[in-house]
Amino acid sequence: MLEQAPPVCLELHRVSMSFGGQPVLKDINLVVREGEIVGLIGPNGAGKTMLFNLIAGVYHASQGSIRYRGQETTRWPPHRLCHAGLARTFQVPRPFPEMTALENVLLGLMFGKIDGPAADAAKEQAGELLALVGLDHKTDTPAGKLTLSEQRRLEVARALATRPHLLLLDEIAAGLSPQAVGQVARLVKKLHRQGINLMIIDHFLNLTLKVCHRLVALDEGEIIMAGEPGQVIRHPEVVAAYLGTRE
Amino acid sequence: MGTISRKPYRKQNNFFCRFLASETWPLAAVVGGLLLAWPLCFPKADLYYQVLGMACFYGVLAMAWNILALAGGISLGHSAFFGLGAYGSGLLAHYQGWSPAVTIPLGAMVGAGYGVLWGIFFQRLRGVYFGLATLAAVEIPRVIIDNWGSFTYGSLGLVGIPGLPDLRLGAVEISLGASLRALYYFLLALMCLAGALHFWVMHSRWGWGLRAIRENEAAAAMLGVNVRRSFFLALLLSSFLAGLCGGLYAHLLGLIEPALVFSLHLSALPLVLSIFGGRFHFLGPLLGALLLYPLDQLVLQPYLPMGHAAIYGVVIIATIFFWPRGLTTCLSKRRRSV
Repeated sequence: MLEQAPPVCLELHRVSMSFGGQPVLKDINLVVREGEIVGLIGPNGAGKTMLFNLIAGVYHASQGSIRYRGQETTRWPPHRLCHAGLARTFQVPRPFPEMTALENVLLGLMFGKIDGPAADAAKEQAGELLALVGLDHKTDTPAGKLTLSEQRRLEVARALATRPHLLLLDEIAAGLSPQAVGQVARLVKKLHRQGINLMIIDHFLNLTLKVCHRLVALDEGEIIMAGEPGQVIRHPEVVAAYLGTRE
Repeated sequence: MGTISRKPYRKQNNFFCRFLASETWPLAAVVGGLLLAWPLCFPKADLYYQVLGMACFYGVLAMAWNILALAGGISLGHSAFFGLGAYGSGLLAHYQGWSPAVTIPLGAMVGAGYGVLWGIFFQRLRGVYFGLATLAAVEIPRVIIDNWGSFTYGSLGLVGIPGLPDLRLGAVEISLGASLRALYYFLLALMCLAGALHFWVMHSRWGWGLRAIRENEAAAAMLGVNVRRSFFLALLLSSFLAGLCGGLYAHLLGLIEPALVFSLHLSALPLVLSIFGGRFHFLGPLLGALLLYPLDQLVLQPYLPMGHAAIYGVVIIATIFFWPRGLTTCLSKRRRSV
């Protein structure tokens, strides 16, 4: 008897995006199933972050459709997607610099769902989330004064505060030491065990190979390979995209 | 490392609980008490009633401005709402003969109507571009009113606007037109109401969303803040309050002209008062008005009748240099927004 595939969480069908006639994403077809961790890899300028921007509603696709949990979300604004359970972090962290780390997370708790609580009712949970990412000792530090690595972790806590079903992590491991990457990998696996689906952009493959069930390789706005991580990184087109070809 | 708990939330939305939990309620109580009590000790201080009454009035205008600034909208054109409120109320009283109790709220709605237009046309503008657009937007109603002489009396101004009506509280009748002390208390009560509204805005869920928009709009949107709606509502409330001030001003003065109510001075004043007092604290604009306006009127103007307005410029530069977050920085233990 055939094993039934888990339900689809996110589906992109023939999604294209162009700016001023210049295509940046071409005909992207992608499915993320419930319970999956999917990695997006590719060289600089491949279109990974743009794909996240389309999924998260920052930009709207020029063509094609995006369905999230069975609903057509191609033209949904970011706040509506957030309320539907989709959260993301940014490649360059975007904390609220004047607010403390705790207040940054509180905002996620207050607004992540339509009937979110007031700040004073959510402080305990915000503290728990900061502890989850190892920032419990920085609760009252203004986010603008945190290090880059701490700001990245704060972004994760803030995104988790919205109680996401699908979490998009953009270059969360960039610039981290191997030890720190190991910590991030453990955190990702923990989130996955708690029922959160994840998509991870990882330029240098140091995190995705540790945690992802599937990799999707992009180059020049197109998917060049998708499948098991081991297969994808050995595929000649992926190797060529990263290292170039011999003349 | 812990886990993400899914506990139900305990809601604590009570306005008074929040006010009492804030760091500055003792100061607010002391300032309020002093403002309430001093006229009892000095019953014949008409000049001070007038100056402090107008300080309360400009405090309301500064808070109106600050509601939009809370979302990062630094307006250089709030005199547009003020002027439209003034002309809306003044013209209705002039042509229809309605009571100021009716015309002032209607004038405020005229101001808010122009706020709706800003919301539609300036929705994508932020920062310097928003500021420049607001500065330019004052000219549109000013030029129309200036040139529509048959209806608005143009640059001659509208005169003979009726004063504020008498108030009746049970058996007590208070004449706002005849008693400067009564007028002072009226403006103080208005400032307290606006202060309570300002406090509520800053500490409400919506106010937190506005702060998030100010600090990083894209991140705020990704956390579920409806950026357009929140900003639009802030603009609407801000323009309504500024229009209300304008309507009140028309009936306080009894005459208005475009050069007066659409002036750059009236656009800059709430900005100066808020920045001086501290625009990240609910008491900031109010303290700015209560300190700076009387200082200007009672100390600087008698000695520098020609150049006293320049002091505002000096004050703003000094504030930016020495207390970039305003005087209320000193009130906050953590030296940041409350």
